[in-house]
Amino acid sequence: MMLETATDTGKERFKTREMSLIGQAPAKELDVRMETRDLSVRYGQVKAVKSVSVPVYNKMVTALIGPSGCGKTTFLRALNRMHDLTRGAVITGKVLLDGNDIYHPKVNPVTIRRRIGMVFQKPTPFPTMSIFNNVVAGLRLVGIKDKKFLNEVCEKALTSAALFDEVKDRLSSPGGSLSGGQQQRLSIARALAIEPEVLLMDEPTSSLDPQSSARIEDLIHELKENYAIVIVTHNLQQAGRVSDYTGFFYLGELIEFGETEKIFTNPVNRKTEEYLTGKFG
Amino acid sequence: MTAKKESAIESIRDKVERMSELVLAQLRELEELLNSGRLQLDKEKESRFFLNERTLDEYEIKISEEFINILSLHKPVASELRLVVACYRLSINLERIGDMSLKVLRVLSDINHQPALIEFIDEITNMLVMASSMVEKSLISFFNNDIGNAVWTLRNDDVVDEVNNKMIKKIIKKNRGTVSDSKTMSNFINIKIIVSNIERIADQATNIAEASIYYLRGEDIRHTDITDIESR
Repeated sequence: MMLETATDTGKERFKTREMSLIGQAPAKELDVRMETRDLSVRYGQVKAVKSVSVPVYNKMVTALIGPSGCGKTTFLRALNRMHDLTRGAVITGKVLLDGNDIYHPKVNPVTIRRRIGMVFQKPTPFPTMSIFNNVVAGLRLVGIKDKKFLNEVCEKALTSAALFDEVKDRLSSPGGSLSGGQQQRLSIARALAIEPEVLLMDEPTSSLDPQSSARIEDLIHELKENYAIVIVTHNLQQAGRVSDYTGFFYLGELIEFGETEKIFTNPVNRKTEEYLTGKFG
Repeated sequence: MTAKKESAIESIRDKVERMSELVLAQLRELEELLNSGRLQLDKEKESRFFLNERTLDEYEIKISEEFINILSLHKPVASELRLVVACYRLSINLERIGDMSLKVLRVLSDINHQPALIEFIDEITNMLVMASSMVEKSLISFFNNDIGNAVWTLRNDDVVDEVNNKMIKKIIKKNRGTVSDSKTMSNFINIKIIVSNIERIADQATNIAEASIYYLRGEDIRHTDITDIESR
């Protein structure tokens, strides 16, 4: 009797497995968090980004790759209005966040930068400021002083940035006392503390050793559960490892955009193929 | 592409090319053997056949090592990745064809000049020629970047299967109730082993054709209907 039951269960399990193997894989539900439409960025006469239209999906990592000077960082900075501070920069086209144009005259750029956080190439802690104050700096800037709330946010952000366990006993130590990898995670914690919806990362591991880079990559993988992430990287293997979608930029144009697996195994455009295989760049 | 990566990829491709030449030489030797009616290689050719088979085994291992090294050291992507993956797949298929060719040679020599073999020699020769052509065309497809020859190979797999099935039916029909001694029975089993191995050589050719299409188009067409592939 026992044997019959066990066999039946086994068959049932096998059938389910077989069905899931044979059936069509469910289509990925893609939720567009941000989108650019014909976005161009010009510095004087130089057009650094040319009519780029691309989606940024929620809970996905989008990697931007391309040779130096191809416009990927300029494009990234346009996604949270950082060019507002650059003299001579002219933006045309649209950047939509949840369908609303972030360049609309009535939109406050500070509000946008709270919703779209940025992590830079080099770790940017305030070196003499304590770890705690580094994390909550953004919140203090907008006038939040509630100590209990700031404590909660600090712990949450440091935990999300996989740094809390390493620094919980020395939150008053200066940010500059941390290692390079820890400083970059501190920068990520600071970006997360303001609870953004989209996280932009500009070569976040380029100044880190392989071990610290691996931690940041693991962190990106964890963070994508809650954020839309856009990462600019020169490291093609990193783009392949961390991203779901990849866009290839060349001379200011988005040459190809698609699922990372497809781009890295069978790109459509010859230029993408040549760049990936090291024929230029 | 860096020079080191380029030379590593060239090296694995060259080895697959040399494996291909050896396999085609083995198949040609079998064809000549069947056409000549002697069915047994002379000592010199036989030892070269065995030596080629050992060389194929060595190439398979060497290609496997180089494949792993290329992936870990050079991290190829796009067409380079597809090329080295296809090379690895081809090396496995070619080594199997080498094994099967040796099996055919051994069994042929075991039943040399038995009436049962003489009776089916034309069918076996035709089947081998067809399977060899499939191997050759699938390899041409890969080395000459030519999809057409890969599709030709895939289309002909069913033809070889059909010949195989017809031959087995013919053997059974012809000898129904007449096989009285174990020697005759053993000969027919050996003929079955020969045709099954030739049929499997054709299967390996289709695998090579599939790997070639993967390299050239980036599409995995294994277990796909040939009409779907042709319509793309």
